[in-house]
Amino acid sequence: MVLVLALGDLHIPHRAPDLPAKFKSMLVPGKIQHIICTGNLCIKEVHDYLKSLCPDMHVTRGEYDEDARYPETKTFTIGQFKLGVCHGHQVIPWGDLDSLAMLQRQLDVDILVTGHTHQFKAYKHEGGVVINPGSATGAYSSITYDVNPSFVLMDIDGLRVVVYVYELIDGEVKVDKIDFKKTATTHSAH
Amino acid sequence: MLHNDDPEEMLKIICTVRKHIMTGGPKRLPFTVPSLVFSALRLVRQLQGQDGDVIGGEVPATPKKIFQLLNQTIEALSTVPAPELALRLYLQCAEAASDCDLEPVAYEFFTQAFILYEEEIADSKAQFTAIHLIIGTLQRMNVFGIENRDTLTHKATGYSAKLLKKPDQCRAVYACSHLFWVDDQDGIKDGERVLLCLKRSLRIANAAQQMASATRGSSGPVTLFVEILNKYIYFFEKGNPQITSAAIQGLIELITTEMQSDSTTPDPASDAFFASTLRYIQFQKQKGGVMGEKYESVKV
Repeated sequence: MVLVLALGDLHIPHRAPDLPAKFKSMLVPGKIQHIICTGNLCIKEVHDYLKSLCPDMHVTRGEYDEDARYPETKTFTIGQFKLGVCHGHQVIPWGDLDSLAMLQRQLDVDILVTGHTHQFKAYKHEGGVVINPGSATGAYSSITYDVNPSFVLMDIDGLRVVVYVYELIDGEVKVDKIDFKKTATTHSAH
Repeated sequence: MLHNDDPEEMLKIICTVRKHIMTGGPKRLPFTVPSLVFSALRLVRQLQGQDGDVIGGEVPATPKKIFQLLNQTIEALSTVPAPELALRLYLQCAEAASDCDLEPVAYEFFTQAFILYEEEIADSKAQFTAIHLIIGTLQRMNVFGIENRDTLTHKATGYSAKLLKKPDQCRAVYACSHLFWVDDQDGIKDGERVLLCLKRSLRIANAAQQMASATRGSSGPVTLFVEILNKYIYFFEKGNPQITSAAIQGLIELITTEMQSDSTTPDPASDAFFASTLRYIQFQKQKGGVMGEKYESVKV
């Protein structure tokens, strides 16, 4: 059982001062094995805070990030799954599922995590799973109206991943979960 | 953060804060200006939901008035200078103006963004990101009439083709293809111009290969061709009549030949990308129905 936190588009300090208090109290160091951040943190302080939750952090560059050294995309393996991360402003049209599928094929990953739209999404298509953890602070977005703060926690166990989405709606944290099972295909890396 | 439920009051707060932050120097402006801009954009959205204008006091709270303030506020970033940030903020305002149906205001914001791109953003990596942000925003705009939209898309495609590195040019040009196909109900669906963009990006990819051959003795990886193939597939599936299964077949054969050629640098990433693309086509064929029929003549 490997726990992976996925979040992004915090836009601190430009659009939000901090994570919602209810989220902060849930995110305790030492419980998560990996962190995936889609980008737009935007400042070093946020980077350091997230690093304190878990040292194994994968960050990709958002268009407002202060640190220009984050990569545009990142791929890595956790257990049986190949994961890819990209902020998403590079994939046009923004939020378009078919274009994201193309990126998934390009990175050759099972799970693609992207952001930019500030809207939570998790769906399965032939090539794998695409997850958008939304905006962890509920930051303003020109793409999505009425953004609720949200983040995702993935539980990777063998060939199965359970995606928990935490959303702050009207002051309460609501949790939903989605199950994905990877079919052992002949093409995947051994 | 700034907040007040009454739009009148909120606007007064924004005006007052603005006066103060304008006196802040180049160190503070990159932090204070964006925060103010987004507070103002939130207010605009709030006012969008209400009917009619809220008139009263010396500064009536209307989206138009707020956009005027925003224009002046973002201008202040030129003193820092922070052209990349300013460009992003102009694009945000353009989108908000489009949502408010204010065509001239949106056009003005785009003009400002383009001016910054032309005059202030010289770094090739920054240009690549900036042109993608412009294309991405423009793709979503539905407020422009034909003339204005044409001018802006023409500018965007022009700049895309002028990026320094050929692979960057190729990618930006095929991104522009989306400017001519919007999936909405009354969105533009100009199949011919889409194909023109894709063909142009194909020519650029070819040129890039030849250049690599000439300068390094072996042609580069075929990634660009696989990317373009995926774009052909995208529009093929969306029903663009100009994209035929023959064209897709042609590209597949081109890539296969290139990959087998002695002079091509082997690249596991491109191989994997091509493989997953072919797998996708196979999957679509097996789906049967309308999609299966579309792909019938494509051999993988």
